[in-house]
Amino acid sequence: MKQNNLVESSRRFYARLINLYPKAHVAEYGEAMVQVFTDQCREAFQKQGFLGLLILWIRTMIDLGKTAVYEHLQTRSSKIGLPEISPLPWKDVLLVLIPGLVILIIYAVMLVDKYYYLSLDPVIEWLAYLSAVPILLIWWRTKTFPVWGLVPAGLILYYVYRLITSIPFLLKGFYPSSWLLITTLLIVLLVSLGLRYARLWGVSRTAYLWLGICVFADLIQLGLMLFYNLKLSNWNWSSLVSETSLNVYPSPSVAVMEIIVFLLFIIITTFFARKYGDLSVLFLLGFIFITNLYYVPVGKQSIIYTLAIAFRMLVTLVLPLWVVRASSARGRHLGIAIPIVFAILAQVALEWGTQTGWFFEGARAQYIALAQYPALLVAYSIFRATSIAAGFILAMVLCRAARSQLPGSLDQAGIAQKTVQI
Amino acid sequence: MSDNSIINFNQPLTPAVFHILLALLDGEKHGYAIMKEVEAQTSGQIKMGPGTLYGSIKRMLAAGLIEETDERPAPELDDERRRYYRTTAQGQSVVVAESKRLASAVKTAQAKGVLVYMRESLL
Repeated sequence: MKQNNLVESSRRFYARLINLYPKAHVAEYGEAMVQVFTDQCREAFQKQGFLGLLILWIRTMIDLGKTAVYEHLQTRSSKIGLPEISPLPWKDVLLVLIPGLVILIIYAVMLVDKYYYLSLDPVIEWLAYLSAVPILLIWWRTKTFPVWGLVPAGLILYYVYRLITSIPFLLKGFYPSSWLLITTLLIVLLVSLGLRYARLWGVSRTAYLWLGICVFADLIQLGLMLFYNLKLSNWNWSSLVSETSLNVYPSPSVAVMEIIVFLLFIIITTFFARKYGDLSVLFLLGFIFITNLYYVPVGKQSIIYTLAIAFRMLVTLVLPLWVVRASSARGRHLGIAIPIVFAILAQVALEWGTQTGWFFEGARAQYIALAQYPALLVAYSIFRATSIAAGFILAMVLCRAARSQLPGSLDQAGIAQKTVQI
Repeated sequence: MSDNSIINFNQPLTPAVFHILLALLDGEKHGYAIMKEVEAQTSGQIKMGPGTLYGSIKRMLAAGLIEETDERPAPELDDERRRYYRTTAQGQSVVVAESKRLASAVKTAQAKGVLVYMRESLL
């Protein structure tokens, strides 16, 4: 009788105390917590009598004080948006921004005087190679690939790719054997890495969806180019694998390689997911800097220069700054999506305005052959932009999937996509 | 899944979560049984209170490491108010990965002679 009374009194008192937890927590787990506590009381009393019950109460009060505060903090942080992820420290932020800043300055110089184009393009290449020295040193010393090395790594890998693939062309000429050789090797590499990823982490429906959008946009691009190239050569199919078709931009054969390389870079981006999660897209950004989001205005209108530099600044500085300083997963995603979308729209508008002579008649460019067909050009630009955007999202989805299945890895930079620690 | 449910897989698991996962590897259990199993498997070193237990369970459910199950024992052995939990495939892979991480830490400690010092100091 005495046992029942003490246990029952304890149960009732604890049932009141659990109201110290957040209401939602009590509603969901309150009854279960009281039941567990009652079981504990019964056992403690059976084993050690009143003393056992007293010891249990002391332990439970400590547990209650600690966990009630924790649950309230958790609820509060989710309500008022306390930092979910730690923004990168400013010293690292500055290092992350350096490549973009250097490229922006060089790009601005190239815009002011196009004479510098030929001399400054290799400058970016050599600076990229040079940036490998501090990255490798830090990597070797700390056994950790530095977060600020992601953008230069993307740049370096692109230049290394360009260097390696130029060797067969130099040795054997362009078409068709060299092109076939390199394209086949790239496809084999892409498929191998893709299968490796799928085996390790699986591929979600979302990833398939974005891959589908990316590939669909690429196929439309290719279709437009094929159509234009065939039309230009009076429907002579052999012209597609002739060296002269290289002079027609966009060239389908070059575009095929560019598309495969873009997909390859997306897969390589996931190599960094274990450590950096979403932030791994900085690697892809290094690739984008000098390939996809690139626009050289024709003519000498300062407003066009300003716009060109402004949209480039979005991807070289605003995007990396926003992403590494974001304090929530949503903020980080917005930091990637908004600059990319605006940059892509600006590039499409600038290219279209320039190539169709809308800005001023004399600026109609020759190097975009599609400019002779404005409707084709607009469609081409839109699908190219769609491919880049979908590729970025695909990279993020793949990185997140790989990251979420990797427990126990260390995150010394404190940039995990953490929200709740358990 | 809300943001609040994402677990930081970059950090080692807390002892409570790790031991709850271990306790559920044998099969589904209700809260009190989990508590007793954890106490037994840690030789009494970890005694969780109801707050720690259900706080951990809440986050583990949200993270997809465990799930509530409808399968129940025979009615004469069951209290229908009890809620039973079991590990998911993801929970099992997480506990395996965490065990490997701990094993690796022990291996490092052994290599540095830490365990030898411990043994000697105990003697």
